[in-house]
Amino acid sequence: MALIKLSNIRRTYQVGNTEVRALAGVDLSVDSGDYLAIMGSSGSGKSTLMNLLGCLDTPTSGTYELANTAVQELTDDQLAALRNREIGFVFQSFNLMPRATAQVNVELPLLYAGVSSTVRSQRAQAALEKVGLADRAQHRPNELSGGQRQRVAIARALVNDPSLLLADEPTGNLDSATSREIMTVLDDLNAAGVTVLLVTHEDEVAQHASRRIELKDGLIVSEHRQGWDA
Amino acid sequence: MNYHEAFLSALSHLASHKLRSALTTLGVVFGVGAVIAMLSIGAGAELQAQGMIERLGLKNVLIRAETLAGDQLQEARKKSAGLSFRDSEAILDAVPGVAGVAPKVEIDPYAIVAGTTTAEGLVYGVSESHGELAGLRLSRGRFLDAWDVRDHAQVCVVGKGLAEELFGFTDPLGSWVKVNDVWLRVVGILTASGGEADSFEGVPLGGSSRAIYVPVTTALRKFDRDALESPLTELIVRLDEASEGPSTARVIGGLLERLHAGVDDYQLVVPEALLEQSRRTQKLFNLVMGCIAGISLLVGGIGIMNIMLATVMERTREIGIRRAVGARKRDVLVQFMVESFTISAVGGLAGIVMGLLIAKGIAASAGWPTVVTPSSILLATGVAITVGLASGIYPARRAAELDPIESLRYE
Repeated sequence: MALIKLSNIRRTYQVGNTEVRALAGVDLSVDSGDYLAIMGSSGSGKSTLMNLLGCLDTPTSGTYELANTAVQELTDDQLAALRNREIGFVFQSFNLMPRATAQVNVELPLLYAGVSSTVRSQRAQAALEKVGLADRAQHRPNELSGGQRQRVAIARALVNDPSLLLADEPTGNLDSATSREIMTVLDDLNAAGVTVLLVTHEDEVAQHASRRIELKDGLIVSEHRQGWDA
Repeated sequence: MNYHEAFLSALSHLASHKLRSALTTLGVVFGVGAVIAMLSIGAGAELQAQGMIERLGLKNVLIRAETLAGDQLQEARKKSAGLSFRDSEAILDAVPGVAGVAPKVEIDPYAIVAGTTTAEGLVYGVSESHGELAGLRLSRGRFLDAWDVRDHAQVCVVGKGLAEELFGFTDPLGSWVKVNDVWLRVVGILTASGGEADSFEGVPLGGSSRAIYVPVTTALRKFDRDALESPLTELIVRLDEASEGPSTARVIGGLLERLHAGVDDYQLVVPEALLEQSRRTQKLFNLVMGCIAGISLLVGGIGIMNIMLATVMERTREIGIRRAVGARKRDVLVQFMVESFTISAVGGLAGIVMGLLIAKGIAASAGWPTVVTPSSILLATGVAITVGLASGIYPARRAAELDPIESLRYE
């Protein structure tokens, strides 16, 4: 069953008097449980696609269906609720709140879901356990290593049981050993049934995905299934 | 995110920037403190004014002999004999709405002696009705009565302060006190009168705790007085309940002008008018102080807005994160509004404490009575909260309107 269905998505920006076309008609369908890597050089439109998929942005034209919801028709508040419910973000620069403990950072999505504080605490604890950081719950980000920070971010992305995990260059700020560690966490999550969307320009990272698409000038130029061809 | 959680998170954020938060609240602290202190001075002054007017008697009109000297006195006495019993009888007879008239004579005491103790004080000759008219209250004994006045009795009623000074621990009642060359037996002791001040709006008040009251007749007969001096120093005219102070005072004024042949050797005091005047002064004072306090609160509000704008800038990324994980614009708005509100509420609380301290300090150092009323605390708190919310709206809106994508990329 298709979790994501993009058809003829276009996104243009107005920069001064010129119109910049970031996406020029993208069609994409992602099934539940997929492990997809989006690749492309800078300026290819992959960030724009990522923002659209993450419901942070809406397309200029075209339709986007996420979990049977027509995203392009939603209001700002509905988009926020959808992000809260269906999407977990993992960023290159972790994007944790520096003054809050790992626990509080992980609880953040639950706060906006209106979950009571005792349940929040339990679920955050469980999410931290899933990424192997149960003993670091009361540490602040600056007391954690890069890999640990990214795990906290993954725990935060998972805590609401979203249907989609969006990881934007999740290993971009990490050394290769830690990168492998983080990718293992993502692989395990996918194996456990989480749909993972990976934006990267590193081949090695993209290898983990079962399917990969390449963007160029706002269009999907190639699509591979792992093991089918190369 | 509900308000309770937003409040807790605001508190923890403010606590993580202690110095900055403290400096930000200062404007509101001073503003609220100023409002409370200012209103406490106002309320204290009002209370004092009322107390003093009560001592003069709100339903009284006072006629005082002007203190004249030298040529002026010579000139005045050619036409007018000064304030006298003739005036008091005329007023009682001719002016409608007058319930009674009590004369008062001031004696210049050069010696007040009891046993071996000497003291300084004020000596008044008064009629038996003076006690009631001037609102004097006895703690022990009795006031002067009609017999004392008729008989030129050598008796007196002593104010509390003076009695303590003269007699110490021995019982003053029945003891003798010598004023100038006249021996007087103490028949009554007054209670401490409200307030220590002896004048109000330039009008001297009787009933000081340092006063000795003797029968008016005794005062006139047995004490030496300057022949040219006005026979009486003061007339207290008691009005009945139905009559108005100012209008009756005009009638009395007309009468006296004729009796004194147009000589201005007396002064008409209407406590009701004095109270009005004191209220006007107070209003002006409140207005000026209110403006100052208002400016302070305004500056406090601008300070909060400034810091909130800086906070929003500084936490752009955090806002982006919150939006990405599901915060609505409204959630972000509420978060920053609550923070700004918390700053001003904390400032308001500190300001109330400061206001109480300032009020106490003023009372102790300047000797002004200050009264902190609940309504002034309410007003100041209300204003502080309004300032907090008003100065939070713009920064909070800016935070809420930030684009989540831009915010997440913000360095």
